[in-house]
Amino acid sequence: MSAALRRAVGGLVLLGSVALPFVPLAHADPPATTLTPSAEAWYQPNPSCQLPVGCQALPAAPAPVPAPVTPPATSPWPAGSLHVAVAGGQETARSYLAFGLADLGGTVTSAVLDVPLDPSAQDGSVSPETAAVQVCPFTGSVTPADGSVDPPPTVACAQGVDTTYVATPTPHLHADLAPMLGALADAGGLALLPDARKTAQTSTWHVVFSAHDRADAAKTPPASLAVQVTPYPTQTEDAFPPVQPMAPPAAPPLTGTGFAAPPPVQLPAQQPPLALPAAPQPAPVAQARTITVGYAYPAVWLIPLALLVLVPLTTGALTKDLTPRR
Amino acid sequence: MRRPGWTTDPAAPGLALFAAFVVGGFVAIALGWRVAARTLYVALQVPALVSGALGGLALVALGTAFATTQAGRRIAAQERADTDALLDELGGLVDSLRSRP
Repeated sequence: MSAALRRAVGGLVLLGSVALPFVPLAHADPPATTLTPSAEAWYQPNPSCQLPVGCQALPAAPAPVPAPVTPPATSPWPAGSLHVAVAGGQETARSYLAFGLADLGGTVTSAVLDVPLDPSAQDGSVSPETAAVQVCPFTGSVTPADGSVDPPPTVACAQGVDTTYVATPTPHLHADLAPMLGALADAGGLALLPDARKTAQTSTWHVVFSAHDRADAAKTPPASLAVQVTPYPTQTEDAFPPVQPMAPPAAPPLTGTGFAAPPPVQLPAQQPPLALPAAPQPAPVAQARTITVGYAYPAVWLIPLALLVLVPLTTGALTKDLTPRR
Repeated sequence: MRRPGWTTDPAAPGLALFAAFVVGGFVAIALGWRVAARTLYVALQVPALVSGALGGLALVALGTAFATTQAGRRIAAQERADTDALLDELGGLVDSLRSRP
């Protein structure tokens, strides 16, 4: 190695050593936590609301006349299944998931909801790929219910987020809850309900998913909420210097508060936001995707074969000579 | 092993086929009721009722009509056979009377 090359390499090593303290360390993301619902419930409209007398519900105070009773909840679907549905443009089911967001002990910096779907038509699923489901935070608590007709908890869909249907590897709904992070801290959980803005009079779809305690054979994994939480700042002895006893003031303060006036704070002058010309946005292009949808009753495809056999048999039977043999 | 007499009747296979139509119709009605009863959605109940109930009724009606037709054909064939036997006997009787001196 020549002396010039040796000096060049040495210089590079020296420069690298000097620059090392300025190299930013890799930013450590807050720890990610995956939450599953601690309680779930799904609600359906009170069928008595369609009666001419209006909705029937238990009165708050006892009435002298026999009070109408709320009809019992009836769920034709498997126990532990949860539903969000629209039939003929009318909402027929919505679900509530309690995630215990208040116990996270920090500020939620990201949240992603994934809801694995049960695609079985036997369990009620109808055209889940066309579903327009939105996620909204709700206040209050969730009492496990299976098709309750009681009034559901109040939702705050002003911060609602639309879900997207993902067909592969398994059908599920996906939602990035970034727009509603601020509302998550005070929320009792997440409500999944039909998006009224995207529901037409002809809309009919039904998505089914599983509660965490569903036990039948068609069970799918429960909904999962992947959150990243930044812990609240805690005061430790290492974070602050030891407290020194205050020296008595050399002169009395100018005002009678006992504290000297703080030095004036120089606030940076706010600059008006720079108005940039809006760049033309490319038109969104829907990506083609393959959706595998099964038939609820695949045996119907045997009907043509059955007709192929039955028609000649019937014709033969009706034209056969029925003269009894002797 | 000797088969029962009614199974050797030429109308038996056809009647059995049409009886199967009727049974299949009742099965379709039961399936339609089962599908319609397990959902609260009218939009899903209507196809079950149309395919199950109406299709089942059509099968029952078709099977019954075919069975009635087959039974009528069987009775007519029996009458023709009886008439032929009677004419044969009459012919034999006439022949025997002619041949008597």
